[in-house]
Amino acid sequence: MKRGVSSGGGGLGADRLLSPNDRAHTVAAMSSEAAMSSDARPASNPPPGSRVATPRFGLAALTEPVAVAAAGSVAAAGSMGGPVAAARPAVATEAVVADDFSAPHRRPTAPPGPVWTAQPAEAASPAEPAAAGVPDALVLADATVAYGRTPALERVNGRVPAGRTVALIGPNGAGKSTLIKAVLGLVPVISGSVTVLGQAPARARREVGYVPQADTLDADFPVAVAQVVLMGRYRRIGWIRRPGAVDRAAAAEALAAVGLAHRAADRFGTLSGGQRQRVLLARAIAARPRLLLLDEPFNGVDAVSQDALLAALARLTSAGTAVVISTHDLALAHLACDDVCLLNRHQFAFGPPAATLTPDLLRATYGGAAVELGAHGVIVARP
Amino acid sequence: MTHLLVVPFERPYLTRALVELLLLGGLAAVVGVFVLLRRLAFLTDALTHTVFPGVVVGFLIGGQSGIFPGALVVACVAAGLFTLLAATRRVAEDSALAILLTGFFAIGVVLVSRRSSYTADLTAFLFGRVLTVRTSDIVATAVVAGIVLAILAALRKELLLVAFDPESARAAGYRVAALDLALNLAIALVVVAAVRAVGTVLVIALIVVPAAAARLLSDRIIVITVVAAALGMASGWLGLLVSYQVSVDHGIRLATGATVVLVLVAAYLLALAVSLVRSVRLRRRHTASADEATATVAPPPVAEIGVGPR
Repeated sequence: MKRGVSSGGGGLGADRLLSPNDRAHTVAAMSSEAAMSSDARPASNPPPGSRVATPRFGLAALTEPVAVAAAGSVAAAGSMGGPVAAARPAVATEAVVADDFSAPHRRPTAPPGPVWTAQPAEAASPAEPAAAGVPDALVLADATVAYGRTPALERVNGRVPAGRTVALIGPNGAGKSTLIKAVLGLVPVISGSVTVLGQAPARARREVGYVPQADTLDADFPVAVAQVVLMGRYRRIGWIRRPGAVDRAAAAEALAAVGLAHRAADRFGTLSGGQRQRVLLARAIAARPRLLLLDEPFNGVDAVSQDALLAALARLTSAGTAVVISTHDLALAHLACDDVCLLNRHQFAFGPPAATLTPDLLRATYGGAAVELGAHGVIVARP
Repeated sequence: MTHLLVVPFERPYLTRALVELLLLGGLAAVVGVFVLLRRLAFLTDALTHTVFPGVVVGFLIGGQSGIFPGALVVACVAAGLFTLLAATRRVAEDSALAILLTGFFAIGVVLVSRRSSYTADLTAFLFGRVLTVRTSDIVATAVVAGIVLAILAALRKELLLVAFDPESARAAGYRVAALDLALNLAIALVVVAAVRAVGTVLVIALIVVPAAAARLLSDRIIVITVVAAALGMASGWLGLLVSYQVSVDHGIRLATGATVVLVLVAAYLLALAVSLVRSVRLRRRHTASADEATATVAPPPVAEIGVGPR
């Protein structure tokens, strides 16, 4: 996740996703979709580090510099159009596909961590030292979380070091949101422990950012985009005092980081769903969190906004912020996250995507909703 | 014409009524903006009904001067109770709240009905008697206005966040229930201050209508607040004037509080018409520009249009 933006972009994530034979077709589909989109942001105001001319595919920001070479052929392929043009990229569809990706050469510098599965024998001890001396932003040690008396999520283990990204994956009702709320200290941990930045969850809140799903908020609310982002500073500003120049500057910078500086004066509800999601991310960024939690940030988000979200997240992680994303999107998790936590009421696995997003584990997590695709992948139909 | 607008207020009781209505109109409208943002109209209504028995009991114990303390005690208890209810369940869809508010209201009516001057008292408590407002009532209203506006000014950031995104406010470590309690107490205080002048039933209009009308005219909270306050005060003045002139010139007695409410409702309908005309014009301009331009043209942001007439 760190490498993408600093490489100057230009790359296309698709070449990591697909076999060489498939690449041209799928890329053509993506490019033409980009051309058809009416949501293209004004070219005059691209976010820093974004690629204006390249076809928009959400994962582009996350690829290695090697991928730059592919951009030329991509542009050419994009102009071909053709019968495949109507197809949508796998990441954006309702059903998400986890291919057997070219895992070995993905993210060569990321050390393959241990895979913790549901078997108690393999459950990692929380006392295990953090990799390479990076401090842990979040440690889950056999954590069981409950609303009232019935556990919503049992015995979750895992660790998120600073600057790393973890995807929470599982069907609806699996307990992804519950886990996020437990990390925020809003839902009690009844056994085991959740340690956030070395403290109890409720005590670490000021350094933890939370990004809710944009569509849970009232679109009629009379509040400007800039005002929403400024809300991220309220905790720092404190009671009674007014936002100062520093706060306004931080909010403006955060809004620019998600590529929406030109919409600052507009009412929040006039933005598209994806843009609203970016504004909410900007609000969290403005608070300068050390741990950022995102609840389904890619649901119903167009590709431009997905791209912008991923680019902003990549910049955050490279600055040392740990990120936890709950998502349905297996392909996105595969490319954008260092580790994956498979959940469905309890933990099925925690570890690098290549080791966790396997047909067997996904079938176990999703139960009947998983369908195997030949030898190379699994389709998970959204329940 | 200017003569008509000013002369009545040379009478002292009308001047007192005017000052009281201006204070209440402005105060209730500002609180109303937060009620609108936090979607508390139903809870405010419940609060006004529950305050009623407090008014009656206060009156039975201490006469006219017992009304304010009686209402104050019950209003604060009710505000706390409703905050607790809201924190534990979905109040807007809660029949428990409806049962509670009508139950309280009935207690008040039963208590009043045991008096010989039943009808006159009931009318006074429900609809107020702004023309009999004393200087001490005005002072009480001014003190309440000071307290409430101070609370709202101090907490405006946090109240805005909680109204917009309570979940994130909680995630950031704010005590949402405590902030809700502060707002509910502010609403309760306004209801109490308004009891003598406009009564427990009509005060809801003073709180809810100006903010709702102002919301139709603007997307910016600061503009909404200013317009709502101006609307509340103007309606108090105009309502008082109309009820006075009609009774003097035509011999028709109009209840002042209700006339103020009718003026407010008329203002709301006017604002509604303005916003409808504006959105139609906006859409027409948008389709026209979309026709001539090939690229996607964003609709002009509503926030830039500013405030309409009034």
